[in-house]
Amino acid sequence: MKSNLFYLAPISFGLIVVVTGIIDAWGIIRAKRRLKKTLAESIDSDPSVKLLAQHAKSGFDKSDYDQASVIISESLKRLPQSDQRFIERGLHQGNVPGERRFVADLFTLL
Amino acid sequence: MNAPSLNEKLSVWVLSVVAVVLLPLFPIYVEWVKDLRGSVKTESLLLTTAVLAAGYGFSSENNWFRSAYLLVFFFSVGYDFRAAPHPTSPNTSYETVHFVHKSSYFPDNSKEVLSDVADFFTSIKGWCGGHIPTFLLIVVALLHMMERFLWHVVFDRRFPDWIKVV
Repeated sequence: MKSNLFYLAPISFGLIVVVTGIIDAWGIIRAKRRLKKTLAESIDSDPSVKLLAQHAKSGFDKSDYDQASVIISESLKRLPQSDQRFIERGLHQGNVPGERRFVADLFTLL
Repeated sequence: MNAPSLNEKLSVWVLSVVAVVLLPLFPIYVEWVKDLRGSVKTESLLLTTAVLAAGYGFSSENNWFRSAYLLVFFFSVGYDFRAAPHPTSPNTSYETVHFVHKSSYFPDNSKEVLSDVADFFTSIKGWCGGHIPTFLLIVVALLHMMERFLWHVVFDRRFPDWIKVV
C-alpha cells in the first residue's frame, strides 16, 4: 500500500541510531570517569601519575604521551572489558589531535 | 597540548553544529522569510535534506550513522518522485479512513471511545504524513549533531581541525 507512512521508516531508523549514539556517548563518558578514578587512586603511590597530572594542567609534551599511554594501558587492566573497549575507541580514534587531547583529559586529576 | 575543559568541549560542539548543521539551512531560512505565507517548498526541504545526508554520510565514521544517512538520502529523493494521486480515483487517503466506526466487534459504548482513539491516531498519522520532508530534515540534523557530540565532547576533537588553539 502506497502511503506517506512508508517514509516514516528512515525517520524511525534515524531516531533509533540517535538513541544508540546517546547510549554510546554515556558509556564512554562513564568509562572515562572510571579510568580517571583509577588513576586518581594511584596518584599518591605512583609519582609518575602525579607528574603527568601536573603536566596535564600546564600542557602535555610529546614525551608525556608515551608515558601516559603506558600508565593508561596498565590501569585499563583493572577495568571491566566494556570500559576497556570504550577507552580503546578514544585512544585509537584515527584523529591525532583528538587522541592527544583524549589522553591529556584522562590525566586532569588535580 | 592542554586538556580541554567541559566548557571548551561544549563550545567546540556548539560551534561545529552552527557551522555544519545550521549554516547550510540558510537557503531554507531565506525562502521562509521571503514567502508571504511563511512556508517553504517541499522540494527545497527534500533537496537540502538529500544534499546534507550525502555530505554527512561521506564524513561519517560509524556504519549505523552511515546507513541512516543513506536511507534518508534515498527516501528524500524518492519522496520527490512520488506519483500524484489519479484525479478520478476515490479519496482513500488514511486521513479519511474510520475503520472503527464500521466495526461490529465492540459493544456500543466502547465504539465511541475507540472511535475517539482512532480519530486521535488518524490525526497523528495525518499530521506525520504532512510533515515528512520536515521530519527527514530534522532527523539528518539530529544524526549529525549526535555524531558531532561524540567527536567533540566525548572524543575531544578540535573544530575546525586546522585551528590549533581551540
